[in-house]
Amino acid sequence: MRVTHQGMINNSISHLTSNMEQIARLQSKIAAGKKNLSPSEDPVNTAQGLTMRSTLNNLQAYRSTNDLTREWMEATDYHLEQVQTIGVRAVGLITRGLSDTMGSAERQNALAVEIDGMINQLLQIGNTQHKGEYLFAGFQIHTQPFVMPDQNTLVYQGDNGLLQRSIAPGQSVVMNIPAETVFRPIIEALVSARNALQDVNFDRNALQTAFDQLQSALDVVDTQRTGLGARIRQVAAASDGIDKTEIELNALLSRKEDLNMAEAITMLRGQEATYQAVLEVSRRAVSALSLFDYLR
Amino acid sequence: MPGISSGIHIALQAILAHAQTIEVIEHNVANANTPGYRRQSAILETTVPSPILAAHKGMGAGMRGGGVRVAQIQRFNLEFFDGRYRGVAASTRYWEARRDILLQIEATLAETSEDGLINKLDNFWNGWQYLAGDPANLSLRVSLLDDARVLAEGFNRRWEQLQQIRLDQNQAIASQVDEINTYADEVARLNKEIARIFSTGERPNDLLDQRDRVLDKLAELSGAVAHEQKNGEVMVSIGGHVLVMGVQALHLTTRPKTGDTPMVEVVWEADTPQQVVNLPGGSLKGILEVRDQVIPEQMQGLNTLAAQIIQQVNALHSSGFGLDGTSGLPLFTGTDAITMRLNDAVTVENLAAADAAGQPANNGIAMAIAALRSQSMPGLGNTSPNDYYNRQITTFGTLTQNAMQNSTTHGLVAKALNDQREAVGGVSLDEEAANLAKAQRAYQAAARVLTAYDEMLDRIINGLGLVGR
Repeated sequence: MRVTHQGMINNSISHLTSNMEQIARLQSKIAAGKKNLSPSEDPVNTAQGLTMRSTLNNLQAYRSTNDLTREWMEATDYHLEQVQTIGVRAVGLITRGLSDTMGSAERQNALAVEIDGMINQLLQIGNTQHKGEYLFAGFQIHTQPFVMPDQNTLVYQGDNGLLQRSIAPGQSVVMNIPAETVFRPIIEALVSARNALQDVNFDRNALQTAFDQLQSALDVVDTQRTGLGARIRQVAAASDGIDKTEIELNALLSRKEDLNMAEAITMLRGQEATYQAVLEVSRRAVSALSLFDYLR
Repeated sequence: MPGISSGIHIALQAILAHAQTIEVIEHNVANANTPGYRRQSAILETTVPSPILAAHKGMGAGMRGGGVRVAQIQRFNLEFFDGRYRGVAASTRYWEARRDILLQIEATLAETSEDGLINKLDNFWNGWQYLAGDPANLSLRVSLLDDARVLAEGFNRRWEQLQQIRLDQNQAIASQVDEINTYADEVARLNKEIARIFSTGERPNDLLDQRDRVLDKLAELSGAVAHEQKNGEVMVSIGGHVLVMGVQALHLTTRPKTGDTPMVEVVWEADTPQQVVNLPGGSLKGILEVRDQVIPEQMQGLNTLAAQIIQQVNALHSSGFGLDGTSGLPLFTGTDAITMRLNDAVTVENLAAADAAGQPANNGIAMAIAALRSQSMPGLGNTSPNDYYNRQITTFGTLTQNAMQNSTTHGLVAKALNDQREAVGGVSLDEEAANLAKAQRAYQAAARVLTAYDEMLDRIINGLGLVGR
């Protein structure tokens, strides 16, 4: 094939240009630390990366929900524990009241007053606020749930609504308890117990009935607290799952998107060596003497 | 009859022929770097021998040669390569034009950056997810409203940017049409000159070079093909419609496109009614295709996605209840990507997260809207909104990748063909140096022969008839 001078020069230029282009691309990749600078370099990989990034974003939202949910549930659990403690103490007091050794003055003054205090404590617990929201009001988190207009009547102003929270994709949990079913029996049992104790004509049977009521009310508290504990574990498990998924996804994403620096720098070195060789060859090609220099 | 005068004539002819050869070599060397220049070469041939037969008495033997002359100045060109090159150059330019616009769009959309629409979608869904975790929280509501506004604006901006890129092509189209017209005029002018010189039996080599260069440009712009006629003129056509015939050039022009008014389309100026130019290749075709097919598909995708999100989110939102008990409010107004807006009537208070009135901690609607993220929608071909947009990015990325690869491969073929053209028609300085030496020696020899005749004449004129002097 005939090779012309212009052809040789054009070739040199195009080789130099394509080499420079490669070097420039490698440099930008190294600077950005990314495998692909634009979706068109690897569309499928980019799409997968974007999906993973979306999932990661979503997981963060779940994580925040989980943290809030868990705080709420743990606050609820703590207060149910207090209800249990009070209940157990009340059982002790009423048992003493049932015994024949106690005089009516002692019953009315010591026991009834203490039980009355417990009723107030339970009422306070029922009206606990968590970050400014009532724990036991169902959906009505801005309404005080338990009110006693007189000392025998308990009014529930909440709605027993169950607060659903999604804690992981496709998984949701109820984070509160049906408060009225927990608080009404125990408070009403204590109210009857107090009234029985206060009664001048002490009716042992009435106190016994109140005692039985209290026992079954405590059973309800127990059941609810156990159920709540199981749900707290569920939330914890979901959080762990999210943590694991997040770590895995991050690793995968890094494999998809991040540049292997060692490899890229080695490639850059190689490309630079090639470029130097092309420069050297081009120098000769471009400056080569022609026959004109030798004929005389 | 052989004689001194005819000998001098032969020597003179040789001197003139070689001088002309050297002149052609000079022209080659001078144009070694001229783009599109095809090397030329003086073709030497013997002159017609003397008709006087050797049979005449005492005249010696054979037909005597009459010397040398330059028969023609040949131009080294292979039309076959020209045609092939132009075909490939047209497709190279087509892919390059596509690639350039697609890369521009890719940079504008910046889908892999923080500014990507996917990110804005994610933030919007996450906003609902956060709100579902704490439905009465006012600051979450404020930030969700902000996310919704950003999402709507993201749709608006993308749509506008795509439309702007389409609009920007009008200028590129108009200037390419102008170029095509100018080149067509030039071909017509050159046709006239070339045909005139052809009719005299000469070869207008340099004009042919010029015309080939213009034909290359026409092919790159519009995929035009050229056919040489017997009289040296070329006929140029684009997609079967004549562009240049003899000395007459037909022009292209642009006019507003029907049904797509701010855009222009390319038509034949002189046709009645004006027909749309059917481009077989070239950069103009690339521009028009991206503008009329690729970008509208992207915009259509954006519209579909926006419409689905507006519809689905609004349906849920207007069935829900705000903190203040308001219900029936759509979250977004508008119906597609460009008209999508956050409903001005939606406030922090009446943003609906609950599915029943008067329940501040109810998050039924917030949960349902957050779940839309991964819900497949029939309107989106049974994919989720994120997947749908993701697929659109992938499709677009593949198109761009395709254009990049094709422009590289076609470019390589075009370069190889051009190298072949250059190999046949380019100027090799070494070759010219050798030819120059050859011509110079022949010139010198002819001059020497002339000197010999000169000496013979000298002998005859000054050396004879001196007897008795």
